[in-house]
Amino acid sequence: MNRPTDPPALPARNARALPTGDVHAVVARLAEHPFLAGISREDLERLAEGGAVVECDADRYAFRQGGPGESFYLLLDGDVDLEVAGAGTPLVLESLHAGDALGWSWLFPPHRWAFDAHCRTPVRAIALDARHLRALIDADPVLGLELTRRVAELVADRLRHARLQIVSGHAHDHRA
Amino acid sequence: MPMTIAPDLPLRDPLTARPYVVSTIRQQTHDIVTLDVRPAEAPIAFTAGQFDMVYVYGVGEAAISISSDPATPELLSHTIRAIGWVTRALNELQPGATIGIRGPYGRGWPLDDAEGRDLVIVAGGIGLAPVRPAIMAALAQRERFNRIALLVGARSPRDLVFRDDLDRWESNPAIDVHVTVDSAVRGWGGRVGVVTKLIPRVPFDPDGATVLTCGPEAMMWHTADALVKRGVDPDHLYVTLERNMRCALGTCGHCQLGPVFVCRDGPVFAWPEVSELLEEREL
Repeated sequence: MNRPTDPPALPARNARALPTGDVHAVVARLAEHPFLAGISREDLERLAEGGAVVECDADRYAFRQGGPGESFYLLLDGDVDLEVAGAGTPLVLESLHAGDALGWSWLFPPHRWAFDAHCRTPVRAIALDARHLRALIDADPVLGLELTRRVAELVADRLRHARLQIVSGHAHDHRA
Repeated sequence: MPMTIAPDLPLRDPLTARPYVVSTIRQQTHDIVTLDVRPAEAPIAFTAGQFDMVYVYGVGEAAISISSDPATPELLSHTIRAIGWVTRALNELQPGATIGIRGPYGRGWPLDDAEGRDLVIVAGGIGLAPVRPAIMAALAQRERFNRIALLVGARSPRDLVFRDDLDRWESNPAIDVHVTVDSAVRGWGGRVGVVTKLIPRVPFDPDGATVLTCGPEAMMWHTADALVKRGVDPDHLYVTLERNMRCALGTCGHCQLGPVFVCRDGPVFAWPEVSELLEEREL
């Protein structure tokens, strides 16, 4: 996804630039997003610094595997598929939808995306500036712990889901 | 209306199978078929969630859930994945073949518990088969329930069973259908992720919901966790268990799970009845 004030992460043809929203508009959207439920208004304003509402057209990539994790996306509208590119048709590992958080590679070195994020439909998201978030986590241990805990919960959820996918793949019903 | 035999009447001989003739075979996936069979004698009524012992003459018996509408016992369906001698033989039958069936056995889905409440049904893979009769029964008595939600998961789009039903139910405003697959190639167009991911998102009232779930045991564990996290009372959460049923009469002990016999006391259980038993290793 492209933010109009930053160098585009993707070639310009892959994403549509939006006018930068003011910080209050971003804060208002952050306050409604489930990932940040319960975070104080003051902390939302700090998180929103450098953030923007961004859009990605259908059949474009929000980011590509190996690319720099420069943003943390909170989805507002649309569907994003996390894909593994291979020799044939890409394999979709998970679809994300409005209310989901997209990606955690921005938090952990080397800050590179592990998968492709393919926008199946037109997508709107809040893009939070990863460098700013990391600096905030280092500078404010209370907010930093809370944010890190939420990302860890996201990672744990995805890990549980991945394990369930593996276990279900091995399960066979004798009676059904 | 065809004459039926009530399920609570004693069978002539509980270990003697009755003859049924295969009328149609529906290929669900590469290794799952649904056999529609008609009784050579009077049909026997069943309740949603019960199972039969299905006998391929000369090969053996397997416990198979009934996957058809309880309102039409004269046309009985069983949905079978080919994984063993008997189930492989069942998958290779042709229309006109005669098989033996004894049953129905066991305790079915407690639809009465859902009366006046939201009814949520969570199915994984071939687990849609044992809940299909409950869906049909619930839709036939739609006024008894508040919301009806169906959450279906499968390993991939090609592993989805009862696609015709899913298409029909998805266009039926009486039921709210959500389908997801564990993985898919691009172009599938639906949700991708495990079925438990749907639980926080589907609209229903957790305080007033009765949930029926069927699938691999690991999936049911995760489903129960997600439902309880959302606020569903475990007493209103029901699972159906799969064990090695042989006699189906609660006698032989093959399906014993601690103090319960799955064939006789189940296969449907309230979650608190079995959750601790399922944690016991080697039970």
